[in-house]
Amino acid sequence: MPTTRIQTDRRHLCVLVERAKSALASCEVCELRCGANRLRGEVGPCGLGADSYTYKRHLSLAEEVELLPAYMVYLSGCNMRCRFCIQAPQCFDPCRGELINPRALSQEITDAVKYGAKTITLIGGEPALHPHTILELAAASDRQLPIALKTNLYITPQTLDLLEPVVRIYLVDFKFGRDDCAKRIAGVDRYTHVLTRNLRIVAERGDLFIRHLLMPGHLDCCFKPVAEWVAANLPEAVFELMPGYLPAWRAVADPQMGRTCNIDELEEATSWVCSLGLHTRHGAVHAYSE
Amino acid sequence: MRTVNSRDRNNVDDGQSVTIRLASDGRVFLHDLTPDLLPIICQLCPNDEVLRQRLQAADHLPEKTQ
Repeated sequence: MPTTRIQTDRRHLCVLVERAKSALASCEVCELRCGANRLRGEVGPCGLGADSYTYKRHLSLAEEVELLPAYMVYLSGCNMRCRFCIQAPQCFDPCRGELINPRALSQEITDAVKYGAKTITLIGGEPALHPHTILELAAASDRQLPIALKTNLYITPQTLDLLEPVVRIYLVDFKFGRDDCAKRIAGVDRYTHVLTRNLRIVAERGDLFIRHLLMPGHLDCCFKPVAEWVAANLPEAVFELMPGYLPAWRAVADPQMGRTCNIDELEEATSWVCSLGLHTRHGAVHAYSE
Repeated sequence: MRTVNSRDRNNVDDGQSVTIRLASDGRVFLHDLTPDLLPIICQLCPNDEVLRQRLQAADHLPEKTQ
């Protein structure tokens, strides 16, 4: 890309950084729309202020094959409280790990690309709760970074608009097919409305991978509606059925969710995906990060 | 490499460990897959096509990854 184009893009990104920071004064980054003034130390349900922390970074080969090798950057803090979260409760801590210096981290991920990483995958917690930081990372780099956002997508359209210039790939966890399951398991309202609205938006903006973690006892209420919606509305999107549910955190003691999926559930889900014209690409080994 | 059970999984998130589950039907579930772990898993499942693709993706990385 010509240097002048990069400089123009960087100036635009710097404007977006300031816009994203200003928006933290009355936070509507996610669909909880708590209105907390993150610039003055007020915190909403996610607990985040204006600073961003990263608690893990490494090269991974567990992502979708097209994105490999991926350099994973884990950002602290989340707006959902999924009872089965394998990163919980650590990922909920908004100050876990190292305070991000955007210039230094930008250099690190730029180096990762030079080293061979095909994508920079931002993961959490929920990385989209840090739009100002993500924009700063992009603005500080001397090249366009291949940023993939691994997100629960429970965020507002304004946040999606802010991130649009820098996110090339969307890895979306479409977890629940019914609002009552989302409320009971993750503590959020209007889940299916928010997710389907946002999926339609991001489908127009970048490569889209829709992932669904198969949960025990949630085939009819969650898996099937999710798979059917994707087949009917976004048939071009890649659909990844993730069969490796492992009960963690509060799900360990949950009578319904405290087990892995059984063979019948896995086979029924796989067959359902095939019947819808979607497909899984996993072999005998299922590898992914959550 | 080490495996963990459900009681200590909250302690593995140090960036150095990977959760591996072996199902009774022969499936292997990896809750992450690093370049250094991949050759080991490939020995476990040498005919897995997706693993082969992952190996190819790692081909152009320098040999020492950490």
